[in-house]
Amino acid sequence: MIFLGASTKALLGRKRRKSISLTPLIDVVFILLMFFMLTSNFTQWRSINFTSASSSSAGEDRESYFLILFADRHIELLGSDLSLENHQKIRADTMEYFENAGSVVLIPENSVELQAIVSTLDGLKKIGLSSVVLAESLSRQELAELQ
Amino acid sequence: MIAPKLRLPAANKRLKTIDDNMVPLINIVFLLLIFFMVSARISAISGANIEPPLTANEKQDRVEISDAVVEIKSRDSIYFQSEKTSTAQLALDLKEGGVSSVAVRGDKTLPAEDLDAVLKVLRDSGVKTIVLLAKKRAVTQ
Repeated sequence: MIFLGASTKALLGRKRRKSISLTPLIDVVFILLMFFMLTSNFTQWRSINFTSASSSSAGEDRESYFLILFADRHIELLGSDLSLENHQKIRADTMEYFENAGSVVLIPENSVELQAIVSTLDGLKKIGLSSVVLAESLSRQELAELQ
Repeated sequence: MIAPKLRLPAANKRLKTIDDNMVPLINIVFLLLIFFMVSARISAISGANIEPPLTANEKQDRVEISDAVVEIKSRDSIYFQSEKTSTAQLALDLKEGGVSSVAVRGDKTLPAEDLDAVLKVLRDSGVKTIVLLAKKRAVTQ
C-alpha cells in the first residue's frame, strides 16, 4: 500500500479550473446599458414661480403695477409711459417704474404663447421682481378698455 | 552569455482565448452602465409630446419633479401623471388625492387662455402651490 503525503494528495486532487465564458455577462450588461441609455433623461427643469390669480381678484389691489403682455410680445405698464418692444428690453433701468412696494400683476393677451409669458417672468425676475402675479388672460378688446 | 528562452507553460497558452480580448470592451461598457445608472433619472414617458418653454435665467430654481405633474398641450389635450384627462376629471382627481402642489408643464406654443383654463381648475381644486416648468436653455456665446 502506498501512502501519499498531504502535498501530493492536494496536487492529484486539484481539478483543472474551467474558464467561465464572458459572453452571457456581456449580453446582460449590454441589455442593461441599452435600457438605461434609452430611458434616462438629463433634462434640467427650472421652476418659474408665480402666483396665479383671476383678473378680478388681481384688479382689486389698487397698489399693484399692471403689466400688459400683448400677443406681439410688446409689454406696457398700465398708467405709465413704459412700453417695451419685448422681454429682452426689460433692463435694470426698468426698475425705476416700480419704485413703490406694490406687487406686479402680469396680464397676458389671450393668444400670447406660454414661451412669451415665461420669458417675461424671466426678465422680471432678472431685474429683481420675483413675486409676480399672473392674472387671467384678456382679449385685445378687454385690454384696450383697461388702458 | 545567451539568456535562456522563457517558455510559458502550455496551460497558460490555453487560457488566452477570445474572451480575454473582450476585457477592455467589458470595462468600458461597465463604466458606461455605471455612469447612466448613477447620473440619469428615469421618468415615465408621457404621450403629451410637449415641447416645454425655455429659460435662460440662472436665477430660476432648479427642480426635481416629484409632485403631481399636469401637462398641457392644448385645451383638449391635458395629461395628469402622464395619463390623458379632461378638466372635469382633473378637478376630481386633484380633490380626491388632496393634492396641494402641482407642477405645470405646458407646451411653449400654448395660448394663455388655454393655460388659464387649467390654472382655474387647479385653483378651484384647492391647489396652493403651482409651479411652471421650463427647460434650461443651452447657453450660446
